[in-house]
Amino acid sequence: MMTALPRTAGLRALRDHRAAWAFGVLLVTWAAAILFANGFDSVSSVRYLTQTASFLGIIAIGQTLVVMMSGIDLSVSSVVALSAVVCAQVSAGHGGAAGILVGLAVSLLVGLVNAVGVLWLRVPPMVMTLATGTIVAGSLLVYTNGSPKSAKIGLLDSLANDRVAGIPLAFVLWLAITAVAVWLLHASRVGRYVFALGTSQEASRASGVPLGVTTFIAYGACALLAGVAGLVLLGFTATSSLTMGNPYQLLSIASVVLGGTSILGGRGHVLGTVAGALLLTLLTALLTAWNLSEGVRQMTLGLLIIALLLAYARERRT
Amino acid sequence: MALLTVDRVSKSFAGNRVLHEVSFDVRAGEVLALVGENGAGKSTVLSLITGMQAPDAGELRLDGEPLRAWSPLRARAAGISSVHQELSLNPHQTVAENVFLGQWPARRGLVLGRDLARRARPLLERVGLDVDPRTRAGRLSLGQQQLVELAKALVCAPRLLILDEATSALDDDQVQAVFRVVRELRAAGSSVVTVSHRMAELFAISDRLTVLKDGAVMATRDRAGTDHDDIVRLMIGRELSDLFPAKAAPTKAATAPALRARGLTVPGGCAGVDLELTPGRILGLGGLQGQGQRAVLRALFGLARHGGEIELAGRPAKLSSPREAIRARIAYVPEDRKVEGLHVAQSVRANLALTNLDTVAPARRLTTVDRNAEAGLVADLIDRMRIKAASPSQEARRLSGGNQQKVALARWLPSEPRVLLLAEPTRGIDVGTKREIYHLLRRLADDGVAVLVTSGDTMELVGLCDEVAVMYEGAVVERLAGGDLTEERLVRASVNPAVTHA
Repeated sequence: MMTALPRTAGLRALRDHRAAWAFGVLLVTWAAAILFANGFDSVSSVRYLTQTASFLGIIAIGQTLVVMMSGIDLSVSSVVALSAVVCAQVSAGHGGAAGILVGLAVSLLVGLVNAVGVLWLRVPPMVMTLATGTIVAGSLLVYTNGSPKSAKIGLLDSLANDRVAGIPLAFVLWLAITAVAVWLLHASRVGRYVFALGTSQEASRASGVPLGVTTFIAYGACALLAGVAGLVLLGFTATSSLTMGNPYQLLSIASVVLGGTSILGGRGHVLGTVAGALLLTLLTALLTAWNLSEGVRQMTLGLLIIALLLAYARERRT
Repeated sequence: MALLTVDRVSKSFAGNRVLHEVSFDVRAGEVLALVGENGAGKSTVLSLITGMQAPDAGELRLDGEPLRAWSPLRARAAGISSVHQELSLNPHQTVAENVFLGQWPARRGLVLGRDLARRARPLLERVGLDVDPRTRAGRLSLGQQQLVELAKALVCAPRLLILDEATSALDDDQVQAVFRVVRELRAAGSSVVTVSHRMAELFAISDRLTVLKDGAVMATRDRAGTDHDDIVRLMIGRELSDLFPAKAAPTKAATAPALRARGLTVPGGCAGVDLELTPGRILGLGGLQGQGQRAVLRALFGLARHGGEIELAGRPAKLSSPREAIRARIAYVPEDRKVEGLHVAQSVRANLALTNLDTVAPARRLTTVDRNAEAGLVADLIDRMRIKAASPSQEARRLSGGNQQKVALARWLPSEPRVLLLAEPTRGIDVGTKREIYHLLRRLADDGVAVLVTSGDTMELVGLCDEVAVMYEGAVVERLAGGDLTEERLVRASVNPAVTHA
């Protein structure tokens, strides 16, 4: 008994910190990639990975906020395209700064609409965000007449491609956003409300948790971050497209879950999502390095996500 | 002749010994009561009998045969049914579907709904339930649902029926219906094991009482050879003289009410209720189960839409959300502490801090939670309320019912509420904790809080409250205070309001 107690306590601590698991799996995978695949041992490959992971990571941070309060945002892929396409379009006439501002504003607007639907119309988050996402995608098609513009905006270009002290600026931006999110979710009052709502909506109501404000902050921040990611992507490729956000829908949710956050909400850590996004980007790069065709790559990635979920991020039985 | 023998059974969970060499037997055709405080091991013993858990040592014998590879399925097949406090009904299915869950009559894969209802009726009658078997279970009151559970347990004509706090949500009439079923079973040679916190019920129905304390059997007594005090002494190992605190001294000078409600109406809940909650006094809402008591409390906390006028400290107020109620310094401890009262999946710390974020995470810190202030607040509350938790980071669901209730109550204390609303504050709680809660409520009242309590426990209302308003079908039909506040008057007013009015 004397020996058994600390051990079970240790196991419980590990189980309760699935975010730490995510980093463990990330390190093991990275080590395996360096050992068994070509081209993962160079500084430039690390740079490239952190840079590309940033696009996904920024979106996934926002997704974490929403998932933590038992919501989900299925409109992020459309919002990524929305901010990039609108920014490119507006900057063509009114300059880059206007493009960026308008792009972010319309992104935020989508988030607020999501919150209104979830909160006041009581549409389930899955249905509401899927619907707004579809509406946004459709209106982009109408807005651009099917041919979105290219745009070279100085600020976005350097944000996506430049480095400070050898570190990609996009990665720095991602880390800065993460720092704010850590504060918001794990140190501030709003965070307590988010976790409470994710655990039990009824108990939260009877405890005086401000449902409205919290919902607006979570969905607003999620859409805004998806918009930011869209702008960085625009800077990265200097061109916008209607489908540029598509890969990020599933991957953003997978990053959250593989990062150890419960898809049911109320449990997890933002930092886990950082590991989740890096892990998924690394896996994608690995599969590409093995020269698998696009179809096989997608199938393998899907299976890997399921396998990893089963390995450490499965929902607990109560 | 023993139907079931529990022979020197021990059980531990994670190094924590819950049962230690527990032995007793259940004879054929008898009603055996298992009594003990929360955590004494009653539920664990029952879970061994129903096959939910296996003993670490010792054995159970049914008809003299040791039970091997025991499981809930085999227990059912052997004629052991159980009814628990926690409901297992599917609220979206009909009463009849719930009663016959898993054994619906069917033809060619189609369920015969009419047949189902026809077969459910006699069972519902037997448990004294006058509802259409085609009603959805979720539409019934808590007490009625509990009776449906009982009907469900009777489907397989049990040889051994286990009632685990099965009457906790029932009013007196419904309890009598359960007793009738128990007596029928006993007359037919079946046995019943019953667990309840309502001592009077155990004495009314059982033949023998087995007392558990800290996982061991203290004694088994024939009902005729024992009394209430004897059993309580065995349960807690000491005399329990002062369960209820002294009441408030009647004041000559009238204190202004902290909250006054006039014509409070909740559609489908209560109608035209007038209430005055005065600082220093504990007001009770009595009556049968589900006569609108819950609706009154929920309206006053802004959880239910309501009509009528509410005045707080003499000023008209609108309470349209819990946040507004909390701002007006009204606190609410709901009856369903696992759903509304607590975030059971969160830590004790998070639960206690959530309602006090204004002080723990003040605006001048940009709402950043001050961990030191939080730890101080939590430690203080745990200490003050004597909450037994392994640590502040223990999940609330791992606490015993009594300690959960203490947390649900403690989290409101730092904000110093003016009005405290409590629904069934001691349901399913051991007698020691009950006493603590009664005394705490009285201390709060003495400090100037106006307290409103609903309870299905007549003794509790009489012992605790300064005044009791009796509700019937959503309206207050009688107010009892002072010398008029007796159990007898209260019960009479509850069941037959027309007569008391005449």
